[in-house]
Amino acid sequence: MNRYLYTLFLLLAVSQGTRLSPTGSEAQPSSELNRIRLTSNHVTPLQVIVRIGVDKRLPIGIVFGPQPTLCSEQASLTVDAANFEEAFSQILKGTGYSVQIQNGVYTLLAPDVTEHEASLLAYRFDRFSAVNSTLRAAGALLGGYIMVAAEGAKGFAGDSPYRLSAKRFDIQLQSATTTQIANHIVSLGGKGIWVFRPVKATAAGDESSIQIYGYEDNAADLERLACM
Amino acid sequence: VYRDVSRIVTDQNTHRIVVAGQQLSEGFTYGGSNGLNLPLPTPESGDTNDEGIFGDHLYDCSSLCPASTATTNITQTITDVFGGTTYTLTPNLLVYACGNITVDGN
Repeated sequence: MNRYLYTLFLLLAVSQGTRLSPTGSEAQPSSELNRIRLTSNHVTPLQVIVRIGVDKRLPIGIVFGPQPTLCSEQASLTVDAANFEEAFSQILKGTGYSVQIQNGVYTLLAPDVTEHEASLLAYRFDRFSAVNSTLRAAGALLGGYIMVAAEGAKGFAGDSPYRLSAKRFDIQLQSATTTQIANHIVSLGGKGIWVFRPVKATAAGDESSIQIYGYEDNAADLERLACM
Repeated sequence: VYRDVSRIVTDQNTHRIVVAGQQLSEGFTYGGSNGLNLPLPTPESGDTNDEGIFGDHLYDCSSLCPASTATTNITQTITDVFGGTTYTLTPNLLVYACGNITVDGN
């Protein structure tokens, strides 16, 4: 992923949307001021999506499928879009991914989401409770909920190291699906990204299917974010 | 049950390493009994603040709780990238129980 640091040539030109004076004779429409324009060379769609999320503090969810199409490097990637939904659609062109917006969260869906993944994302929990948790720890806890409630595990244990300055939250939700809980978490504080992957069995048991990264506290992890 | 602890890296003479930005990554293995039938935690990463301290948020949940008095013992091994060198720190024993969680007996 270090290559990301060296090869990403990203020109992200997003106006802050400053309105011209109403007395101005050639006031531009605000949609033009807010256009998203970028050109990147030798990047993957995932790298550009993460970069936009980090820069704009945009809550994002990504549902990966078995094929790592978001990590196929492109020689050049250009975006000229009126809004983030359109920008993501342009970035995702050719990957088969689609974009959905739910409560302000942009969710990118793989074309080959498995039936099992879909059922886990739609699983409804009676309640979800996290105490004094960072965004990442809340995501790890949600992964534990999924293992126990939806996949029949007998328990879970977690250990989430964090920077002491990281924002922490108490979260109490009732009758919420996995997607709704994840969307709530990434909308807190400095916002973040949730990623959902097909569950992989390991020697130590099933890996957690969901991870959450906060833009403010997990920048290094986001730079290393991979498709598999 | 959950528990938050503040931790600091020390050198071989138990002197505190008061340096910010140490990159910590963890790994887990079972360190004895797994009486609560818990899978190993998913490894995560963190870093230290200006005082060399990092926070650690530990939690567990088992279908055997709250009745069981069993524990799950997990060995945590942290690698610390510090000054461009990667150090493997002395492993810690995490003991998960229904009513509490301890780190090296504390």
